[in-house]
Amino acid sequence: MECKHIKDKLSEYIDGALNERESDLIETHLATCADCSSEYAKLKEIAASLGDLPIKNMPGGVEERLLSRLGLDAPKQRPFLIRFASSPLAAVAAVIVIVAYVSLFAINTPGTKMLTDEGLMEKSLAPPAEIDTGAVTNDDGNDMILADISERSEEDNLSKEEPDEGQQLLRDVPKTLNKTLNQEDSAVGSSLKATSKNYSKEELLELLEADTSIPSDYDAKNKLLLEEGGANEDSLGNALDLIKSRYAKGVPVYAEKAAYEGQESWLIIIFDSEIKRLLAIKTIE
Amino acid sequence: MLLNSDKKLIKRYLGGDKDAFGELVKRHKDYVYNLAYRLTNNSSDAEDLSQEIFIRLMDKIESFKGDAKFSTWLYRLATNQCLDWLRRRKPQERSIDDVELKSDEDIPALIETKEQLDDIKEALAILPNDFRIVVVLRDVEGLSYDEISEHLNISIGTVKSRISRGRSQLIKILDPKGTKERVKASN
Repeated sequence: MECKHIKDKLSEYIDGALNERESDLIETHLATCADCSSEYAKLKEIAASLGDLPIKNMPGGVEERLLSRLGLDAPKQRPFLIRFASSPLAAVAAVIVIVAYVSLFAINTPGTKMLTDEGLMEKSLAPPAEIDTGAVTNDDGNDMILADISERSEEDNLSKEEPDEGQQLLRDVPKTLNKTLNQEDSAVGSSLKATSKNYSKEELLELLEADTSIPSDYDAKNKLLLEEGGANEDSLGNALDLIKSRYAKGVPVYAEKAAYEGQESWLIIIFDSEIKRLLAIKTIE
Repeated sequence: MLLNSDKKLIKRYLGGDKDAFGELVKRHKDYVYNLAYRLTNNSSDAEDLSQEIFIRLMDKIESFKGDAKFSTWLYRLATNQCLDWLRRRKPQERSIDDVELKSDEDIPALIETKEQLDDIKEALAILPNDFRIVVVLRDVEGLSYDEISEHLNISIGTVKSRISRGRSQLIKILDPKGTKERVKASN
């Protein structure tokens, strides 16, 4: 048998797809032909290497986006922010967290000098737009924010559910944030009783102006929810390694009753003056 | 066991239980993703392709007759979606017909224009689609010739020929020096 014919059959030979007679012929030939024998070894190696390629399982994030795209809920894996979407105001608050976090994080990076140690006080009188009102006060900005959260969470319903009051909060909270930044070094705080009251915008502003301290006696019932937001170092989740001593120094900027897994709970967003980031906490009663 | 369960899930889904489809996704996502990843050689395309496959599955699941294994049916659908995707994404790539017009001596020339590749993944990525898909189904996914023939709706003879030529081309891609020697010898 000619080498060419043998070589054509080697692949099938490897796969055991030849009949006995053909197999025997190949075997006999391989024993005497170095060229075909070398080809056979290479083919076998290729097939084995391909078989040895590690199996790529679908990453968690890909699965989440897939389920979301299919319109299927994945409550266990869904990010915290989506869960709050059942409460429109809370969803708005979540948007605020994202926006403010992103902008404040940028402020904190070494490359941006706007609010570094030397620049903070000088810039402290800057209008709210310096922080993020530019992104939240104009109409286009709102679209941008909502696009931002939907990119993270693939949640399409936020914009539909957003009430007028939420729009107002979107405009106002950045101002309170700016205020908080300005007063970073003063003993700003407030006594926010998270379990008893749904604060209005005015009341929150009042709280921010009050020269009191945020209660530091949040007990174990207090649960940081944003820790569920993601696993990447850059994600919202890990940036919020909220510990009691840290959030005790924070200032509440927003509180809202929210439904969480069918349970009435509080979503409280505080601004941490130490790390210059927004943090969200929730008490589960 | 799994076979029955798949079918039960489909029944539940068609009866209005959306979670049942999610369960089907969970069971088969890794096969689908791995196939997509090996055919596209990058995770972003693999994600797009996986999404397309499951969206297509959702559209077509009503037509699953239940007389075959669901996994076979799904993987056939997945394979076809992959082929379709590859053709759409790389219209400029040579089809197998073009390749067959070329003599074997032309292939090393094509390969030489690329950097020397020592990675089987990279080699796989530059195989023409029609070769790549059979090689992946056979050597990565471990399908039999019969199954590949069924999945791609091509004859067993074609499957054999494409696997053989696909593997040979991989050897040439990975070992262009060996190829050169062989070409010289044949001249």
